[in-house]
Formats: sequence, C-alpha cells, structure tokens
Amino acid sequence: MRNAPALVVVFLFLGAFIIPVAEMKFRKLVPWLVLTPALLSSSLVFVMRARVWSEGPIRFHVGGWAPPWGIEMFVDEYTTTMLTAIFVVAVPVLLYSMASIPHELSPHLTSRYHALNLLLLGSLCGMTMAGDIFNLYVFMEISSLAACGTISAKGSRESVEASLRYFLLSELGSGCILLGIAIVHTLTGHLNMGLCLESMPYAASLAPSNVAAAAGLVSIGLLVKGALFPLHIWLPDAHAAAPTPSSAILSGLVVKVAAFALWRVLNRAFGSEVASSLRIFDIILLMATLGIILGSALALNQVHLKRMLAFSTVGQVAYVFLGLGLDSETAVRGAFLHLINHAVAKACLFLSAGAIWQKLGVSSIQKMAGIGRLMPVTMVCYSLAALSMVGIPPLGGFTSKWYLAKGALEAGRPFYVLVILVGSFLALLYTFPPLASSFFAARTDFRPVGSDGFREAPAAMLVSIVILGAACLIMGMDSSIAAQIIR
Amino acid sequence: MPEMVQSVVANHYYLVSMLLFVIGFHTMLTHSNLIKKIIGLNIMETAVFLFIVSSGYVDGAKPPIAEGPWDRGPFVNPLPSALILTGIVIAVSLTAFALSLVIQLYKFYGSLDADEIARIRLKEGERQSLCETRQH
Amino acid sequence: MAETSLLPLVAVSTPTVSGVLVYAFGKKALSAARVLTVLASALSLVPMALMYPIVTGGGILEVRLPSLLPPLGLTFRVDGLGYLFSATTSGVWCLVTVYAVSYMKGAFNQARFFAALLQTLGACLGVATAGDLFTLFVFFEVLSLAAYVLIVHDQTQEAMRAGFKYLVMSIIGSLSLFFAVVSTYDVSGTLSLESRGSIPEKSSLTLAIFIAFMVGFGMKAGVFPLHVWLPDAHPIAPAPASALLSGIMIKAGAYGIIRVFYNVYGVELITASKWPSLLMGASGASMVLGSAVAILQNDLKRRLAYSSIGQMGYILAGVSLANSHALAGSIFHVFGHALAKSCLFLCAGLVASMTGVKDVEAMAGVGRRMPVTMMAFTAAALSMIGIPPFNGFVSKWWLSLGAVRAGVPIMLGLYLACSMMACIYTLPLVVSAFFGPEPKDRRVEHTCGFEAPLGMLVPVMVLAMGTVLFSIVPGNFVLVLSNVWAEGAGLR
Repeated sequence: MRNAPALVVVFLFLGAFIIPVAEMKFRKLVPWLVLTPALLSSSLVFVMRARVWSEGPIRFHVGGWAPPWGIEMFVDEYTTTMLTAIFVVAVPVLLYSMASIPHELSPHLTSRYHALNLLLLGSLCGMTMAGDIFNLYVFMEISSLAACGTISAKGSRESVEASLRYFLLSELGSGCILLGIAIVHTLTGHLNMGLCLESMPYAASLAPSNVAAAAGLVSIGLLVKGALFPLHIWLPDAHAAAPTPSSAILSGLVVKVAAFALWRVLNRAFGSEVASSLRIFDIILLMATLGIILGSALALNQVHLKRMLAFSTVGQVAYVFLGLGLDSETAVRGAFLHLINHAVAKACLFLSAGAIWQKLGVSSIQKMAGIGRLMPVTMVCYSLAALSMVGIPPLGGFTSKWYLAKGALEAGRPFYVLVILVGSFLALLYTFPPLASSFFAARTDFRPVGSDGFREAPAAMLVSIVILGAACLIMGMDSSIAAQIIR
Repeated sequence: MPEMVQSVVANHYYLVSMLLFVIGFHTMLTHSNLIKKIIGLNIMETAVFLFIVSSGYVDGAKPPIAEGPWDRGPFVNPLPSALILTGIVIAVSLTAFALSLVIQLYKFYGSLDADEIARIRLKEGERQSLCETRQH
Repeated sequence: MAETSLLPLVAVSTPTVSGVLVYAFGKKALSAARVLTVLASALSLVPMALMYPIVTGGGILEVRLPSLLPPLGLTFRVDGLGYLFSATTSGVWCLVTVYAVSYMKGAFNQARFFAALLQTLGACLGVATAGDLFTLFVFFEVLSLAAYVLIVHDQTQEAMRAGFKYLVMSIIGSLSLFFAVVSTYDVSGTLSLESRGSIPEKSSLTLAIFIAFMVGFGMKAGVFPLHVWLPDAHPIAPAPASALLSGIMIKAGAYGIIRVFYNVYGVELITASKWPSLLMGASGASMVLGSAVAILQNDLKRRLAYSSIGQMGYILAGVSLANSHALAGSIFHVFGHALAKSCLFLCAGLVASMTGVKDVEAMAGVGRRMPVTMMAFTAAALSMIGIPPFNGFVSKWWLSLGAVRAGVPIMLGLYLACSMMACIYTLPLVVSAFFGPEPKDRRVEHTCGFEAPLGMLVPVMVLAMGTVLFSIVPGNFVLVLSNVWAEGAGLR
C-alpha cells in the first residue's frame, strides 16, 4: 500500500493504453476495461483515505529516489478529499458514457474516446497528488490535451472550434505557469513543494519581485484553467459543445482540480506569508465576486440548456475561489464542500440534459415544457441537483453556502455574505424556468415533446443520474461528511 | 550605470528568454492567423526552456558526464536539461494536436484566419435565423 | 425543565412521510390516496392532544437530531407558544383537508395537490415546533417550496405568473433570513430559541440582522411593503389551499417575528431600542392599506386576500407594542383569524363551485340558496370585525388594552378604523346575499338535497362554530396560554 498513490494513476493510464488495442480484437471487453480501472483506483483512494486520516500524510517517492533528487507524490487529507470527489463523480459518469457515447460519436471513435477519458481522469488524479511543481505541470498538460481531445471528439464544427479556443487559452496559461515554475526553480533551486517552502523566505528576502512575478504567473495560469472571471471565456463553448460525459467531467472536475492546484501551490510551495504579502488572495476575492455575480447573470439569457449550465459553472466555481480567497478555516472548509457539492450537482445536471437530448431530442430550454411527465425520474434528480445549487436545505449546496457565509463572517468581511446571497438568488432565476415549465407547464401550451407515454432514459444512464442526484441529497442531510472534509 | 550594463551582460540569457516569451505571448494573443498562434505558442515555450537551461549553466563547467569515479570537476546542472526534455515532448504533442485541429477547421471553413472564421459563423447564424423566421 | 419526547418529531414526520407516499402511489390509487391524506392530517392531531396536558402544566418537550449540520442539527422544542401554533395548524388543516377531498373531486393532478398539502402541513408543524433558528429556517424553506406547488396547481398562465412572483419574493425573504441566521450565529454563538435573548448588545450589525429578520419573516407574513405577492397568489390557488395560505402560512411569518423579538433579541434589548417602531409603522400601514384596498376589490377571493394583509397588520402591531396584553391579544388573534379566514375562504370556494359566483357584485341572493354557507360566512366575518360574542372581539380587546398601556393610543384609533373598513367590505355583501334579488340566469348544482356536499359543509360549520366557541366557553385555554407565554417572555 505504499505504492497506492502511483497505482491510482497507473491503473487509469494502463486502462487508457489497453483500450485501443483491445478494441481491435476484443470489442466486448471495452466497457469492462473502462470501468475496472476506475473502480480499482477508487478502492485504492478509500484505502489511502483511511490511512491518511489515521496516520498522517503519505509521501510516495517515485522510483525510491527521495527528494530533492526524486519526484514525490504527497497525499494528505485535502488530497484525499479531492480524490474522493473525483471518483464519486467519475464512476457514475463513466457508467453513463457506456450508454451515451455510441449515440453521440461515430462508432470508430468510441473506444478512443474512452481511452482519452481515462487519461483525463488519471492525469487529474496525478495533478491532485503531485508533490512537485514540475510534476504538477506535466500532469496538467496531459489533462489539457486529453480534455481538448474529448471535446473535439464529436467532430462537429462547434466542438472543433471550442476545443481549439480552449486549447489556445489554456496553453497561454500553461506557458505562464511553466515560466513561473522556472523562476521558482531558479530562485530556490528546488522543485519539490515542501523544499521550496523552506527556501522561500530566504529567496523572498533576496529577490522579492522575482518571487512576486513567479507567484503571479502561476496564479494567472491556474486561474485561466479554473475559469475565474474574466478568464472564463473559453468555458461556455467548450462545455456546451463537448459530449455529455465530458461536459460533466470538465465542469465538475477539471476546473475544480485547477482551483485545488492553485491553493496547493500557493500554500505549500510559496507559503501563506508570501501569498498574503502579495495580496493574491484579495485579487482572487475580487475576481470571484465578479464571477459569482456576472457569471450567474450571464446564464440568465441563455436559450440552450447546456450553455446555461456552462455559464452556471462559471458562477459556481467562483464560489470555490471565494472560499479559498477568504482564507479562514471555515471558509476553506466551505470551499472544499462546495467543490464536492457542485461537482456532484453539475454532473447530475449535465447527465440529465444529455438524457433529455438523447431520448427526446430537446436541447433548448423553451422546448422543455411537460418533460416532467415523460421522464419523471430524470427530472426529479435534475430538480434535486438544481435546488442544491441554489442552496435550499436539506440539500448539499446549502451546507457549503452556510460554511462559506460563516467563513466570510469569521474573516471579518460580511460583505461577501451578501455576494453569496445575490449569487443564490441569480441561481434561482436561471434554474427555475426549466424546472417550472417541465413540471408545471402552463396548460395553454402544454404539448409534451414526442409521443406520450413513459420515455425514461436507458438503464445505465438512469442509474448514474440517480446516484448523483441521491448524492446531492445525502451530502445535505448527513453532516458527518462535512466534518470529514478537513480535520 | 556600469552596474546595470554589467548585470545585463551577466543575465543576457534571461533577458533574451523573457523577450522571446513576451513575443510568443503577444503573437498568440493578437495575430488572427491560427498557424501563427501555434508558432507563438512554440516560441513562448521555447523561451521558457531557454530560461531553464541557462539557469543551470555554471561558468567554466563541463557537461554532466562523469569520466570515472575520480571525476569531481564542476559539472553543469543536469536537472534543467531533464526538465526541458520533458517540456519539449509536451510542446511537440501540443503542437501536433493543435495542428490537427486547425486542419479540421480548414476543412470546415476554408480559412486559417480566426477573424474570418468568426465572420463566416456570424453570417451563417444570420442566414439560419432568417430561414427560421421565413418558415413561419 | 425540558423533558425529552418524540411527540414533536412524530407530529412533523407523519404528514411529511405520508405526503411522499401519496405522491408516489396517488396516481394509481386515488381513493386510497384521499383516505391517506385525511388520515395523516387527523393523525397529526394525536400528538397535539398528547402534548396538551404537559404543555398546559408548564412543561416543555424537546428532541434533538444532530446530524444535519455540525454542531447544529434539527431541534424540536414545544413550549406554550409553539404548542398554540401547532395545535391551531393541525386542527385547521384537518378540517380543510376533509373539505379539500370533496372539493377537488374530478380535478386533475389531485395526487400532487394532496401530497403538497401534506408536505406543507409537515413544514408548518416543523416551523411551529422548531427549537432553534436553524431548524426554523430549514422548515421555512421547505414550506415556501411546498406552498409553490399548491399555488400553481391550476397551471394556467395566471397561476404560473403568480407562482413565480411568490417564489421569487419568498426566496428573497429566505436569503435575507439566511443572512440573519448566519450572522446571529456569529454574533451570539448560539441559535437556540430557548433563551430569553441571546444577542448581547445593540450595534449596527445587530440592527442589520434585525432588519434582515423582519424582511425575511415579513415577506412571508405579507407586511407592507413586502405584501405584493399575496393578492395574486392567494386567490389563484384552489380554495382549500387559499384557506391554508391565508389562515396558517402567513402566520408562520408572524410566529418567526415573535420568536425573534422575544427569544433572540430579548425583551430588554427590544424595549430599550427604538427598533420595534419600524415594525409598528409597517404593520400600521398594512392594516390601513390592506383593509382600504379590500373595499375596492370585486373578486371575492382577492378581497379576502387583502383583508388578510390588514389582519396581519393587527397581529404584528400587537407584537411590536411589546407588552403582555398586546402580545396575548396578538397570539389570540392568530388563532382567531386562522379560524375565521379559513372559514371565509372555504365558503367562497363553496359558493364558487356550487353557483359559479366569484364576484361580490354577483352575490345577490346566494344566501337564500345556500343558507348554511352564508351563515358561516357571516359568523366568520363578524368575528373578523370584532363584534362580541365572537373570538375577534376578545383579541381586539386585549390588543387595545395593550395599545393604551403602551401609550400609543393612535393604534387604538387604527384598530377601530380598520374594523370599520372590515364592516364595509364584508357586511354589504352578506346583506345582499341574504336579502338581494336573485338574477335569473344563475346556475345551481344541487346534490342530495343539501345545498352542498356534506364533506364540504361540515368543516365550514365546525370552523364557524369555533369562531364563537372560544370567546364564550369558560376556561378559554387559548387565551390562558397566550397570557402565560406573554408573561413568561418577560413582559410586564
């Protein structure tokens, strides 16, 4: 079990490499090859979690070489929380993709898509567990590439364009991050985060502007990947044009891992004194406030359901950044909680939207009248997820908003409670019309799309949607989960 | 004045790499030709590699290949070279992927210019909405 | 002092669970669903009866469920005030459910309506038996959402619009409450409603919290100027739902305000500061405007909705006067108005469904066709005006005593003026109903000889009798409890 951190990534990558080969001879095996690595890795994550909570952080040295010569993978409580979030979302989404990808992509591409998906997940896990800033960069690039690949898999004009735009903006960010890493390496001579932290005060005293430049560059790059306003421009097209499981993973996980990586780097590589002296957190707070209000406001006049959900992501990820920027213990706890809650809820929303599109051909909000009759289970889960994002108790989103508000008060900044509440209100405004018209269609224009009768989603998709919807409810009702986020 | 000239001469690698970085960044942002954007990406990344490698250089040192266990002479830091090898691999795969996307876009739109593509899309969007209103 | 008992939890969970069952199986087994609905609301009366001896003896019941949000959780606590509210709620709800089962015969989507009815009952009981602000807040939100389903039941354009306005304003109120609750937790370290004042001192933050509480609860209570959703939402709902909306749900807002005044801020802080005058002004405006605009309404249900706004003004004015007589009068008026208003709405529904009359001007002669209904209507109207020997007189008496003792005689004048306006908007239509000439083209539906099905008539009669009963019966436990609680809150 000392090797658990590496094995998590290895299983997923192995799966990714075997799938295209297996497709040629053993077509039937492909679904198993997608789910097995994911399940194996998630069980490893549980084992690691138990170990970390009882004994303290795990440090895995790749190849047996200890830092500063070797690469370290560092797993502490925050890491296991992030990994749990990744797998709680990823496993249902992979199950869903079994059923939906054959409809969305041309047949010769499906197994390559699955391979890219597993690569993406593996690299996200690697990013989370990286103890070394260059290793973080490498995994980040793998995840960018895999993400762009999955977005453009559809082959349509919009998806290729969206993928290219995401690629270009994301690589702008990566270039900045690489330069920042290079400057840190030059200043401190280390790449390992813990060792950087030790040498940072000395480096900061020698060359404060260099440290500031490095921190700024790394932050900007990670903020582009985390889609914080106004660096979110790539997100709506990319998340709306991608195949449905990818939208779920992108909105739910990729931007969150970027936020996590930012927090990790600022706290463990630069150290909180440097970060607070540079007032990075204040800038993040400002951008987060704008993101919450403007991101949610932009979602209001969207016609296409998936685009609305994508803009909603812009608003909700800003909440996570708000919590990280407030930097009090409760606020960070709230940020992590919101990370999980939003990942689960957004994945459920995207998967429901995909099911609606696949079964009924409906992709625009105005045509959603009466769908609640035709696909009740899907729409109930959709409602649970949507209300969770608005922040209605006893659903998950309420818990995270509570902690964020309390954190804002503890940090002595009650203004941000107001921001949180305005965001919730805007979330209600854009969430509610699809819900209302699907369940309570005004009788004058009530015409259920498609023939009448029960037309629920196929089993695999339905199971995933129900799992994620139930997770929203459980996250809200069982607060021991909140207590287990961070000690 | 002479201290500034001295520090410029001593750090000229860093200055040049910064300059290249800014050129690449600027190209990526402002030029509308997609191929030029990709070239800009490459310039930007190469600039960072230059920065990293030159940070590892030690004056008057040998390449980091030991000729025997007695060889204790000053070596150039091998770590940056390893870093940029990884970086170059990443840059190459990114370029390959980006170029394939650009080829696909060219097949769709017949143009390599981002502004041109945006214009075509707008016109198509107008035509489409016109068609929709006419069908009423 | 407080003994642990599961009774409050049983009272809240019975309707909630039954509501889910009714929705899940209601479409296939509608008659079973109907029976279950009535049974569930009747069953919620059982814990009330069981709690009666304990609460009147001065005891308090408590149960905690700490799993929801550490270290807070759901806490249920029933003292005199909570008992009064929950008993009123379940009693009126039970009667209205019996009415609803007959009224909604043949309507579409009944399962959803009954399920929402039960869920709203569960949420109201949750609000009434909440032991801390967090539980109150959770059930308040659930209440808002469940009531939305009731309001948009007809699914017409108008209903959807009214429902959307209601929902938006409710959520604004909820968000304001969220801010108030979180800030209270931060300022005072506790959310419990046990104490007689947990906020330590006045400051600009506590003033902001006070205003946030007023906005949050006032939105639900329909205080001017947050009342704009009420005249659209209450009439558009089906009659039983209107009765419950006006009769009970807006009182939940008043309940919240009473708790905030006396358990969160405490008597000393409230009387020492000038803040209650905010509420006094708003409630005075509510009284006058609500009653005045009611006179101008032609649609009967809309008239009754505006009248609710006026009557809530009475209740909140009593709360803001901050002495024991006024508070006792307020609490008694909550009870009395619940009975009277639900009776009025149910009668309106009966008249509309039996004769098709919805407008006041068209009500001539209805009293001769439907004497029992119109007599109940008259009784309830007289109670609302405040004429002895009805309930309304008792509450107005105590409210006026309170106003005089607090040295605000202008309130007395407002009470009288609004009673006068209540006369104007109810008595002429009663007179025309009994003595007016009947138009020739009225359609009437007769069933089994009576003027209306018994299932609808009996609850109406029971409610009407209730409006008389509690003023003439000796040992008026409601009044006694109100007084006890008011004195116990530290008022003199």
